[in-house]
Parts: sequence; structure tokens; C-alpha cells
Amino acid sequence: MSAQSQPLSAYVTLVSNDGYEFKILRDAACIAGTIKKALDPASGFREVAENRMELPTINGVVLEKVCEYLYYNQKNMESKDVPDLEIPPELCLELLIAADYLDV
Amino acid sequence: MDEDPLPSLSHATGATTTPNSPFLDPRFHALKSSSPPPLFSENDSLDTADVTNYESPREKRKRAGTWWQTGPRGAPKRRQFNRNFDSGVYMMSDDSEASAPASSVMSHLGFDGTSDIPSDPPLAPSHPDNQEGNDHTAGSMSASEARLFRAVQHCLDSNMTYFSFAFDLQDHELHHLHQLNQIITLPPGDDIEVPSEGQYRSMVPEIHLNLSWNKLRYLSPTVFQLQHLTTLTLRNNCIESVPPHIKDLTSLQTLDLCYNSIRELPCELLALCAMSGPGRLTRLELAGNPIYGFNDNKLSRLFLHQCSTTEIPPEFMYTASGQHRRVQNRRELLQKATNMDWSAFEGHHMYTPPPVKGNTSNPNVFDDKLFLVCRTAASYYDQTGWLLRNSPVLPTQQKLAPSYAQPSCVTHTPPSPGSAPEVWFDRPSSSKVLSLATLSLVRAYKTEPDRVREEIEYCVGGSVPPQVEALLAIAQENEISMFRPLRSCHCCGKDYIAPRAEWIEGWFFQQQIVPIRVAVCSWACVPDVIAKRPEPLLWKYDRRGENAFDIQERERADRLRGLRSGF
Repeated sequence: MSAQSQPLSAYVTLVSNDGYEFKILRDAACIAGTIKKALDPASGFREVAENRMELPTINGVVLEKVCEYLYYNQKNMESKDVPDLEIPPELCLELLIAADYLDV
Repeated sequence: MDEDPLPSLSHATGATTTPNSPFLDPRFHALKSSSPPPLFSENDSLDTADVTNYESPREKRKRAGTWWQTGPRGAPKRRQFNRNFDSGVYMMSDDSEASAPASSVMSHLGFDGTSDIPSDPPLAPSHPDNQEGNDHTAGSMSASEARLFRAVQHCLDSNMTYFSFAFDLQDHELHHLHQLNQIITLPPGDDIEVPSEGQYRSMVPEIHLNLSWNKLRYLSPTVFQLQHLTTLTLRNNCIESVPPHIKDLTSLQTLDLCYNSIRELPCELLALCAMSGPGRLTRLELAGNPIYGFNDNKLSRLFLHQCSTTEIPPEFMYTASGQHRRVQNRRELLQKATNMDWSAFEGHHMYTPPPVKGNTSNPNVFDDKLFLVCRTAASYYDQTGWLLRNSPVLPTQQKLAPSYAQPSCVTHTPPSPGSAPEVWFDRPSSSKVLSLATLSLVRAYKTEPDRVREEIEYCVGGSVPPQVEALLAIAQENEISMFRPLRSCHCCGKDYIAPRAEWIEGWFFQQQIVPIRVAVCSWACVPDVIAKRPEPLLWKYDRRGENAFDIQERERADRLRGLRSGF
């Protein structure tokens, strides 16, 4: 029984470097290019079998904001008037580095 | 028979031996953080945020507060004791550092080294001769800057309204011009005839500024803060692009940009052209610029005479309703343009003026009107400002790396004449959400614009990732040409860094077709009328339609060509 034969779960888990786990919708998570590649069933990475991706460069606070952005992006994909996403100034540089790493 | 045992297959042992993920690279582990202790939204209060429930590799912070507030710990805040030579009126009201008595008292008491402040009252001297001795700042100026300073002072003293400065000035030397805001209109004196009753006399000054024959490239924000500027003449400089701040000059009536290196104008200029009332731009001079033009030679000679127009292929230009643009003469252009259906273009971006309505039989009616004549296909860019594959190069864009200019051959020689490839009109995505990298960098620039790069380098420990570096480079370019790192979207008004799509619109204004460059923050911001493929050709070039005027024009052109070749 290989990972490819299993149906894809609706939710995936993102783990920060300090051990916080965020369970978010797979569709939302795959907006980020790096997560999409890691969870691609064709790649055969360990992440696919476990539906779990560890992000050793991103800490919990930043990852929470990243998850918020992923849902914000998914929700406003079709809308004409996009509300602003609140980004606290002390987080913006770490978010920038995380966004670059996650390709989002 | 003995056989060598086969090595066991790696996948036979199950999921425990799947290949290692490349995302667990140990070099990412030692990321530094300058944030305060983390606080999650699910935490109730700061009391429960304890080191026992949060452990991450972090080192002692070198800074006292948050990154945008203060420098190293313990450094006292520096205050500068500069005197403002503004009005000469002493206000004994507060202890602000600009208050002149406070600083002079301090220097008498020997508090700090401010004793080099001249003891003369800071009134502008009335004679230009003793200016040199009195003004201690003149020593640090370049020769041209000092000349400008003296000239401005002299003009202020005599309260002139016509200024002409040609001292080989550079952009950064223009900051003295802010003093021109002090100009007022003189009230009628004894020797001036008092206007009769009912005769309106405006007290708003009209400032005419001539900065021709300098070395200006990007201008300076100071110029755009002169709110009563009526005429701005910038002939014979090296200006390549006009900053979007031009829209702040709401009194501007004449803008002369002859003999520069301008290829297109910013979208914000439309706001000035479309304004009603006395502040409307009524003269726009563009002669002698390599203005992005049309391949219709007759048209260029009629409208853009003296411009060395860059030829563009006819298939690149479409009329507003998508028709092939081949214009016989101005009359035809005006009639065609006004007879077309403009409803799709009403308000397609923020600076679209209200539609023209008038008698179509008399083209002179439209002499001072403004309307859209043609446009190019939109060029789409990726997150870091690189042109997308299969997207057309913006015709006025020159600074493109050769490897990214590959669609240019497509641009100028489309597969079949008169049609552009289908891929040009595929909008890559219709989401208006900006990328997280852009959002967070915009936030960083809004918080502390001067230290963003330094702080990013500190955060990642040296090498900035290439994507971030590209965004920073674009922000730096914006800073030079637009005086701020962020741009403002022409369609939705949001702040962004790298444009995702751009196109050129040809607006008919003052007997010429002015190329206007529009840039937007997301692919979805490109209006549908611009993104979609234009309608099939309806407006064709017809040789039988040539009239006497055309033939005369052609003969004149032939004669001219003969004359030129004779030289």
C-alpha cells in the first residue's frame, strides 16, 4: 500500500520550528508554491505520506500569519473589493522571508 | 547454484525509508529573530505567555525596542540645534528646538557647541553682495547650488513671479525652490491703480518657473510642492520620465518639456488635462522628444512635428473599440473617434476623464478636448517585475535584459499581418490579492522606509534571497524616479512595489496624440476592455478615400524629403 493509492485528505498539517501545528485546508495550503510542490502526490516525498510538512525556518507566530494569509487569499480570489490584510510591523520582515521561502 | 543476494528495494520497507525532504535543510535552522516574545491569538494574556510553553533558538537581542523604533540600546536621542531662517519673528511660546531664543540662550550658557550660529538676526539680507559673508550654509554648497540660492533670494526680495534659472543644476540642488511658496500677490498700493468696483482681482500669485538648460533627470519633490506654479518650462534637460507627482500641480496651465528624452507620460497627467476651471492644463509642449509615436508618417508630421517618432507597426495599435488604427488625417481621426462607442472605456482606470460629447461635424470643437484614440496590448509581469513568457514587451521599454526580450520579435513581426498572437490576450489570473511578499514589504516600507534593507540583512544574517533582492531593487528605482519606494495603482489606488501589468494609451490632446503609460498592481486590475482581444478590423485604410488635402500633404512631404536629401 503506497501513498499514491490513498485519497488525498482535505486537511494538511504545517509544523513550525517550535512545534506548533496548524491544520489547514489543502486547497489553501497549495496556494504557496513550495507547499504545493512538497505535497504533490507525484513527488513521493515523506510529506505526501504523512500529509504533514515541517517548516524548520518559520516560527509559530509567523506561520500563524502565513496560514491567515493563505485563507485570506483563498477567500478573496474572486472578489472585486479585497480588504486589507493586517500585518503587524514587527512581523513584516520575518513574513517577507517566510513568503519568499514558501513562494507565496 | 548460488546467486548474489539482490539488494533490498528501498520502497519495500515502507514509509520509514522515504527519501529525505529537501525542506528540512539544517542551514535554515539558525534564523535570527528580532521580534518581541511571541504571543498567539489563542493566548489569553501576556501572563500566560511563558518561556515554558515556547522554546525556540534565539539569541540575546541587541536592540532596546522593536526594530523600527530605536537604534542600539542606551544611545541618547540626538537633537539638532538648527535655526530655521523662515520669518524672523520670535515666538517665545515653547521649548521646541526651532525656537531661536532657546538655542541662543543655550549657547550663551555653554550647553553645547551651538556658538557658531551667527549672531545676526536671521532675516534674509536685502543685498546679494553681503549674502556670501552672512550665510554659513553657502560654504557647503556647490557653485551652481549657491548661485541658485542667491538667485532665489534675490527674486524673493523683489517678489517676482517669473523665474528663470539655468545654472547646470542637478536634481538634488532644487530644494531651495521651496522658498518660492512665499511669493504673494502684492496688494494695490498708492502707485498702483485700484481696480474699479466689480472688477475681480485674484490674490493668488501666478508663478512661472523656467528651468531650461540644466542637467535635470528626475526633478525633485520640491518642484511639485509649489502649489501656485502656473508655467513650468523644462526645455533641454535630460528628463526621461515625468514623476506622478505632476498631479499635485493643480494650478499648472503650461508644461513645456521640449528637447528631453521622454518616451511616454505618466497616467497622472490626465488628471491635469481633464481638470475644469482655471487650473486646467492648456498647453503641453513635447517637441524634440523621442515620443512613442505612430507609423503613420503623415499623422506624426501633423501632430508631432519635430518629434523623432519611433515607428511602431500598425498591428500594435488599436482604436478604442478595437479597430485597426490607420488614420488619414486629423479630421477623420476626430470624426471616427467621436463616432465610436466609448461606453466600455468610461472609467476604466482612475484617471479616465469624462467622455467627450459634442458636434462631430466640426472637428475644431475638440481642440481642447481629451479623448482616447488607441492603446497597446497589455504587458504582464511576474511578482518580481520580469516580463511573463509570451507577453508583449512594452514598446517604450528599453531596459530589458536580452534573454527576457524574446517576445519582441513576436511583437514586431506577428505571425499574420494585422493580428497579434492569441497569447497576448490571455490574462494569467483574475485574483486581486497581492502576494504575501509584496504585502509585507509594503508594510515594512510604510513603517520605516529608510532601514528596510538593513533590517532584512540583519534578519536573514547576510545574504538577501534573490526574489526579495529584486523587489528591493525595484523599490529603489521607484525611490529615484517617483520619490517614494511604493507606487500607487492606476486602477484601484493600492500601494504596491512592482507593476504586474502595463500598457500605453494614446490620448488625443492639444492636436497631438500623447502616449500615456498605465501600470497596475495585479493582473485582475487590468480592465476587461484592455485585457480582451480587440474586435476585427472595421476601420480600414482606403486609398480611394484620399482627398485633395491628402495629396497636397504627400506632395509637400516629397518636396521636404528632396530638400533634406539635398543638404
